Amino acid sequence: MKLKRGDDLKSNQVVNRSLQFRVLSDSQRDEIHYAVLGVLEDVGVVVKCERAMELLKKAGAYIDGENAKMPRALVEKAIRTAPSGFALYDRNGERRLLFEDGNCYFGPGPSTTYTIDPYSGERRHPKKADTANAARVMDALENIDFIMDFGTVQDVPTRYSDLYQLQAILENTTKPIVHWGFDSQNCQVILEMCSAVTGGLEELQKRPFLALFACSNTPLLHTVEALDKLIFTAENNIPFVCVSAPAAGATSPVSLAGTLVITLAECLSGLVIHQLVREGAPVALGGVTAATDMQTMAMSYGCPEFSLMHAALTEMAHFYGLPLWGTAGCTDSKAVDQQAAVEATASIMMSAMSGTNMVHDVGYLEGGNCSSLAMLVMCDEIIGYVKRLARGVQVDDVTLALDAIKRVGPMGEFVTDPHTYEHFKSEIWFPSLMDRHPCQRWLADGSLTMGDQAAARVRELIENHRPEPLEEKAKNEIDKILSGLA
Amino acid sequence: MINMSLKVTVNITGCLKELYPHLSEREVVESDQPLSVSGLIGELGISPRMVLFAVLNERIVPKDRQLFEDCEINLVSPPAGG
Repeated sequence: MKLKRGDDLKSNQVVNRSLQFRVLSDSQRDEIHYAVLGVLEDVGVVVKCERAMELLKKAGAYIDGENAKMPRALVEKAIRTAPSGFALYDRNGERRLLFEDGNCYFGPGPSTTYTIDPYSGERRHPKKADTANAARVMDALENIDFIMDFGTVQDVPTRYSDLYQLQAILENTTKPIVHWGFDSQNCQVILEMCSAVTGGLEELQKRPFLALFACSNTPLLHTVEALDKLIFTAENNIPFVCVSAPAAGATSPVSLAGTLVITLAECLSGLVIHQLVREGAPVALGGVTAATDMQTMAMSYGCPEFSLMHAALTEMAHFYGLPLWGTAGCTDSKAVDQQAAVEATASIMMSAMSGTNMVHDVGYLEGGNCSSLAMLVMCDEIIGYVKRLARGVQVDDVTLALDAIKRVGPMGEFVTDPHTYEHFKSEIWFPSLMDRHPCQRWLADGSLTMGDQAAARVRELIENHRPEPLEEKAKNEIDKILSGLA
Repeated sequence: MINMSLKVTVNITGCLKELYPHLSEREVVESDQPLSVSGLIGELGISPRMVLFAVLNERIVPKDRQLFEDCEINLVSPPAGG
């Protein structure tokens, strides 16, 4: 028996670098695509922005009042001119995330109305200190790749909450940021604040550590506020996420395919306008495809359809050769409990398997109404677990371990074999919260649940993690920008 | 239970349950006068704006639809969240 094959020729070998997973067949994907083109040609979208309407008219769209119908050539051109992906850098100008192909990154979400106080457990409106604490915790977590504000703060002049939140983020993390401005004026200030960090707008454009997003109003409406921000971001060549957030059965058809059609029609019509402003400007399609629970009339962030639609949406975006902004790691539960764990795990698993490029809203409770750092920490652990699952089984001469098997032979043990010592860290995933100790040790440690451990970890990180400080010059400049606001 | 004579069973759904905590999830309303969906909503003290639509015996009906003896109606609130 030849145990080691070495460099022998292996014809027609297929290697899975990850698990393989698809929701849609090629034919189903094509059907959705043609339906989307049909909606944009026949139904059109409402565009409440003169500048966008002028661009569309000039490019060949059919304009009727505020309605714009887009011929497929216009849509297909935008798909061609948009780049296939973009990179986000960290605050220090180091390249961190590459949103393209099946690369999958996770981050929290923005703008919740409530947050859970990490010390009292009280559900209350967020304060600026919460944004700072959240950024510090996220800075420390291994599987949180980008930062968002995690709640709209109420203890600052609320007209500028978005700006004060950004200040708190910039001072507490070096990780890439995805943010949003209330309007294009605030987006301008956001750019000034970030340019203060990089030393100028050109440097920020060259190595962006910031992406901005805006949402259409489902069904099929682009508001002037959203389009102002889209245009502003494209003009400034800053990465932009064009988000549609339907609720199946309420603002979009109850059928998942119909909701995908509406979502993509909004995303692609936004993409058309974006690319008409600046061809080649970096952009991602985005979806928060929720379903309406007919018993409560709530937008569910934890239902199975939520994950299915996001996975299908990812496949559609990748079919277009564009990155996708998706949603996972969230729950309809009001607490970091069993329901939260089930829903977050399922959605994170589906995102990772489908290769959603930017996965946000990790750490959300109550269908997106409330943020929780304990939930975020628990999801950080779930993401680690899922990443290991998604990597699959590596099969090569080393992992087949034929030398080790020969060395140990029948009736032996592998614990002391060098192969185990050399490869256990890459083969076996190690949790940081999940408990694998014997029962006596668990009892002696206080019989803590995973939720208890997550809450304790949050407090430990808030108190002990020290992020790299923002340079004094940038800090002062940002203070000056904010103090100059009316 | 409100004591009148046309007997209607009303299911209160969605955020109406939180907004009108004095109402139970399933109310029985009796009236000695003809009653429309709008009239019923008024009887219950619910703001008409908070009822997105009504479902009468499993069909969506306009709010001026007259109710009949022993019918069952669902009052559905606007969707919320996200």
